[in-house]
Amino acid sequence: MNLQEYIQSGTVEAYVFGVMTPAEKDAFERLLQVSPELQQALTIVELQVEQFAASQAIPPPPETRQQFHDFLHGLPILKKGIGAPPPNDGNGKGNGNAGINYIPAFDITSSHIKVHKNWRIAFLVLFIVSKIFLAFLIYYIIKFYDARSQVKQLQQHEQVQKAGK
Amino acid sequence: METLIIKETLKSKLNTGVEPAVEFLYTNYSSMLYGYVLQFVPDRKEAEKVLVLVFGTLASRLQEACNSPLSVYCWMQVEARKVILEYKKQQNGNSASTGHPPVNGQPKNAYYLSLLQDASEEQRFVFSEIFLQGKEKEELANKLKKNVHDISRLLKESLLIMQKNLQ
Repeated sequence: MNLQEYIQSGTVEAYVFGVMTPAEKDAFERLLQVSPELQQALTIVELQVEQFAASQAIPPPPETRQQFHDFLHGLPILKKGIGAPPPNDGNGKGNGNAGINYIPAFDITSSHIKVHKNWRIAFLVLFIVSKIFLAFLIYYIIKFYDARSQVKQLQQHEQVQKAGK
Repeated sequence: METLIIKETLKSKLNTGVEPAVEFLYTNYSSMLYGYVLQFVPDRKEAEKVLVLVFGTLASRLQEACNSPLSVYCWMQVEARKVILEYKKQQNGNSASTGHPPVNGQPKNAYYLSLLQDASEEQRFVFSEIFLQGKEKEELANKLKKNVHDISRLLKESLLIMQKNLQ
């Protein structure tokens, strides 16, 4: 396949759309470095894609910008600066979706929080211990009232005896 | 009309810090990317969250955009697709009820599928499965009982039809 056939085979579009396998992507980028013709074809497709994207643009609601700011200020990158190594998707297989392990660990789309599994055991132990304490509490309250009523009875008995004397 | 950003502009913004750079990209490209996200995630509220996730994820990788052979916008679009597909994968793992675009027929925002009116059903299906659903070529080949070469051919044919309609 000569260069013209390569360009016309849809390879440039596949690169711009990100649907190449890592091997195809590497080969394309190597050829791109030595072929001004391929570079020109790439620029043309990129411009068409950008113009199409601009024609399909839909402004997000204004509150999305605030959500974006909130999200951004939670990112460590803003505190540390650039330094995170870029994910390398050059060795995986597939259509270029490898290496997406850099999504922040928290999920902004969920109203739930995730906790470590060990907390389940801790909560279970806490629940059981609290039930035991509750049982003891009830037992001692009953004992306390029993004892108090016995004391009252004894006091009454003593008063009766004193009055008899 | 959005202003297209060249790499030199992004580099100079990055020299002042990540936040001004990503803010600058958001100002210029959020509408274009929101339209793009909607073809994968048709629900607007969900698409807004995904858009925030896309910009937040790309914020730490803007130096890559400067080094990529792709233009800044095309780089963002390619990387945004990876984030969207990963998001959808996670959502599908949690629940089967997340909105994904219908394979047969068109989602609310047809976007690239609107450029495939002249394509065959098979070409549209292959494009939709690989591009919109993030299926592997091997996986799709097995599903359709075809070889990977045929799938690659159908995908490239659909991309050429699309490119013809982009002109």
